[in-house]
Amino acid sequence: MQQDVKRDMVALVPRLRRFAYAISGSRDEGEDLVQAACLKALDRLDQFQPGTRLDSWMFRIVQTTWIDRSRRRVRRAEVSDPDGMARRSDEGVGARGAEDRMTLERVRAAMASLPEDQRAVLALVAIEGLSYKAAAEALAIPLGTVMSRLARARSKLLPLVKETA
Amino acid sequence: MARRVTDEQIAAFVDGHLEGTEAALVAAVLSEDEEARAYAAEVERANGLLREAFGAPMGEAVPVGLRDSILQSDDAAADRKVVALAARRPARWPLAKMAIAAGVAVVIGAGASAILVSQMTPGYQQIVSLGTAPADGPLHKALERLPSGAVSDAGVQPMVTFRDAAGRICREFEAAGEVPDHLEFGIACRGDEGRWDVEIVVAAPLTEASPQGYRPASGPGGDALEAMLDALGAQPVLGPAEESELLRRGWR
Repeated sequence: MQQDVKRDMVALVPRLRRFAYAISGSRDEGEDLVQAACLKALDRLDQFQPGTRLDSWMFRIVQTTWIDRSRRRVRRAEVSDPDGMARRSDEGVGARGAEDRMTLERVRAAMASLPEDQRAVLALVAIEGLSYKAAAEALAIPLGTVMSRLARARSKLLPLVKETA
Repeated sequence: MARRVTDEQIAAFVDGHLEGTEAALVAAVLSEDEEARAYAAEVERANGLLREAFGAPMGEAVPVGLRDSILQSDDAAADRKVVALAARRPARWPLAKMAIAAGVAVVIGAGASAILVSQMTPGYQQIVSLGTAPADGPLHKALERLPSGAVSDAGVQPMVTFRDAAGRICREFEAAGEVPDHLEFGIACRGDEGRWDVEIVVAAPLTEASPQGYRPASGPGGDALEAMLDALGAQPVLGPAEESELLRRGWR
């Protein structure tokens, strides 16, 4: 039984990485987050309820791992890292031309400019295609909060993306 | 111009969230209202751009190491009574991976703990070792008595204090040895008996690239430290007031 869940987990890895990339803004950080999240999930596999959505459960673990890390980093930056967190930019893999790359770069920058909680909701709904209900479950927030965060995220993101049209 | 539906409803329609009469209403508005249609197109385009902007991982195979560590992991053990123990187990894999990624020479360690020694000067003498720090040694003294940021005479500097998932007090520290331009940094946690157990030590040469010296918060050693923080279930760093109160009370 658990072996099935593990196989499903492996199949989820690319989506988890996409989500982790979207919320962290960094491919390296995203890969590291997913790895940490998978190990955490395996360690508490007995807490996963069969019949519920594995993707929501895993997205949640990725997101809490990211939140923990960013909190630590903020505090650590005050103590010992005046340079702050370096975000490495992506090369625009998959883009067709220089103009497209610029557009995608701008989309990533726009995403990074959103507050943490809005970014997570937008990533789950717009990128991962989760229903509002599944996104609410994944983030352990009420449905109404999903909708209000989504509205705020879009009111900021759409004008930024529109300029590139 | 007043519209019969809100932007949120249009976006929800694009997201596939609406059903029944509400969906029908939005569809009707879209068919007759150009402005509404333009907004729907904007939302749809942004969704597509977001998928593309962060889509690179979708085209990549799952790394063999990660796949194997998922498929071949032990089934959840019944005897996971100690939270810390359970939380520690995953640390080994990331640490090993980091070591390889960094071309780090040696990984020594059993169970939770690990030491990374990266291309050190031959004959390099380790300052800090894993396990319980000797009660009369410089590490124990600094961790027990100094606030974060202060440097002891022996060159040990506690950096930050936090609690792990089991509620233990843990501190990140740096120690400068006698070999010039080399630094060790790690994490030690305080046990019930007042002992400081060193969970991880990373020894690294100071890089010239950074004028401020080596940054433990970044680079491969920092990644290993980060993985250990995840494994310990590290809570946010304690503030100065909270830390000094704990110091005053002997960490109790």
